[in-house]
Amino acid sequence: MNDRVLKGSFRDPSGYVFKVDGRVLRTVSDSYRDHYDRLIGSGLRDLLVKEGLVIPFEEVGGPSPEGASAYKILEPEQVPFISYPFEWSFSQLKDAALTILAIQSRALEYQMSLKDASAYNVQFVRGKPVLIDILSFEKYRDGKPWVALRQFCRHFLAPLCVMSMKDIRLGQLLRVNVDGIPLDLASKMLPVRSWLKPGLVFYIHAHALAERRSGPSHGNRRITQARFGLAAFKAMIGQLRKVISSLSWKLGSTRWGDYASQDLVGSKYFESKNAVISEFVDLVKPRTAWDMGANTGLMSRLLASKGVSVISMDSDDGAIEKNYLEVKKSGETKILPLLVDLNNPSPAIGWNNRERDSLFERGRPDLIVALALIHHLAIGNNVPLGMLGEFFGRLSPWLIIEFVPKSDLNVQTMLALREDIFPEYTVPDFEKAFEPFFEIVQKAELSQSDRTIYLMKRKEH
Amino acid sequence: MRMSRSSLLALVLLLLSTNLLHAQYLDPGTGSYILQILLAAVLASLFYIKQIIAFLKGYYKKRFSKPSPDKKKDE
Repeated sequence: MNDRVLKGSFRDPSGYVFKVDGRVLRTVSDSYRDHYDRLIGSGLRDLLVKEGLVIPFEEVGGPSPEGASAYKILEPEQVPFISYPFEWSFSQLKDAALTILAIQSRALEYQMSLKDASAYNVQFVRGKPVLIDILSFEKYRDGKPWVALRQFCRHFLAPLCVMSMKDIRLGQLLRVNVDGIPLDLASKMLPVRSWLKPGLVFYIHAHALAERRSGPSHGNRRITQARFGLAAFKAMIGQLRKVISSLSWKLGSTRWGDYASQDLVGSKYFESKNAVISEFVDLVKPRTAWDMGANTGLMSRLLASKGVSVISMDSDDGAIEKNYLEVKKSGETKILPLLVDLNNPSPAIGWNNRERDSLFERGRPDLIVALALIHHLAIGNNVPLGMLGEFFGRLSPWLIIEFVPKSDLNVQTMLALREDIFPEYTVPDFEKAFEPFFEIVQKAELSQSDRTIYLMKRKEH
Repeated sequence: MRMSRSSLLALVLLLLSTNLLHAQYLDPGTGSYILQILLAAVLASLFYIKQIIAFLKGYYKKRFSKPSPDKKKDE
C-alpha cells in the first residue's frame, strides 16, 4: 500500500483514506458504486449532514494515490484531532452510541443500513459526535439482520454497561480490545442486577450465550436464510436506543471531579492565575493548545474564550465527564475533553501497531498548558525534571507551566508517608533542568501561594 | 474416500455461505444472527398475541358489556 494511505484504513474494501498536503481524502472504489449512489441519490447524505450526524464532504477530482481507478475521490471536512473511545468519558461514549443509532434509524427509512458500527468511526467535531466513515452505508438487504449488531454491542453497549453498573474504569478495556469488549467478558463482569434489565439480558447475556453456543458463521444455511423483517429491524434499533439511554453513571465518586470548583474559584490565587495565563496566551496567540491536567476544564474555557481550540486532558473519569457535560450544556465548540493519563498515554494499537496511532502521533499543539501538574509527574511518578523538559519540548513550541514547590500543601501531602528522594525539586533545579529545551520568556509569582508560572519558548536547535 | 467427501461438502457449504452472506467484510457472527432471528420470532409472536387479545376483548365487549335497552326491559 502506498505510504500516503493511512494505516488504519485497510479493513473495508469500499475505499480507503489517504493524505495529500495534509488534507485527508477518501476514495470510493468501483465495487462500492451502487451503495454510494444510493446514499447521495436518495437524499440520505443531505439529511444526515444537515442534522450534524455525518461529516460534510465534497467530491473532488484528482487521481487516487495508487493511480488505480477509483469511482470517486471525496474530501471530508477535516477533523482537527482524532480521538479514541477509551479516551472518552461515559457520556461521550453514550452520545457516540446514540449517534450511530440515530443514523441507522434514518438510514432504514431510506432503504439503507450501516454495515459497520465501530466506535472509531465516530469523532467529536465542534463538541458533537459525528460519523466520519462515509463508506459505512450499504443498500438495505431485504430480510437480512443487522451485520453490525455484534460490533455495536462490543464497541458501545458492553463498555457502557460495565462502566455504568460495575466500575467506570472498565472503559479502559477498550484499549486492550481493539474490536470492543467481548460480550462473554462483559456478561461475566456484570452484576446480578443486570439480569433485571431485559435489554441487557437480551443484548449482552443472551448474545454472549448465542455466540458461545454457535460456531463460526460459515456454512450454516438455515441461519443465513432465515428472515429478519424490516419491522423487527426498526424495533430492534428502537430497543437499543432505549437500553443505551437508560444507562447512566453517577458523578461524584472520583477524586478530582470537584477539585477546582470547591476550593479555588473566586480565590485570589485563582484570579491571579487567570490574569497571568490570559496575558501569556495573548502573547503566544496559539491556534491550538493542549491543557494537560485540565481537571474540569476551567483554564481550557479561558483559552477557548480567546478562540483557541483546546484539548482538555485529564486522567480522572469524573473530571472529563463533568467537562464534557459542560461543553454539551453550553454548546462549546472549541473544547475536546479527553481522558489521558500522562504517566501512561494512549499507545499505538491494532494490526502491526499501526492501525490506531498513539496519542502523540495524532497531532501536536501550538501551546501546552501544564498547571498544577508537575508535582504529579515529578513526585507522584518519580519522573526526573530533565525528562519532563524533553517531553514538553518534543511536543510543543510554547509551554505555560506552573511549578509547585515542596512547601505547597499538596506536595507535602504527597510526601507525608514517603521518603523525600527529591533533593533536586526546587525552583533553580527546575529552571536548570528545562534550560536545554526551553528559554524562559516570562515568569510570574502567584498571590497567596508559593507557586510560579512560566511562559517558555522552545529552543530550536 | 471418506475424507474427500467431507472436504467436498465443506467446500460446497463454504461457497454457499459466501454467496449467502453477500461478501460482508465484517463477520456478523452466527450468534448475532441467531439472536436477531430469535428477536424477530419473539416480536412476531408478541404481535400475534396482542392481536388475539384485542380480538377476544372486542368479542367479549360486544357480547356482554353492552346489553341492548330491549333486554333491560325484559329483565
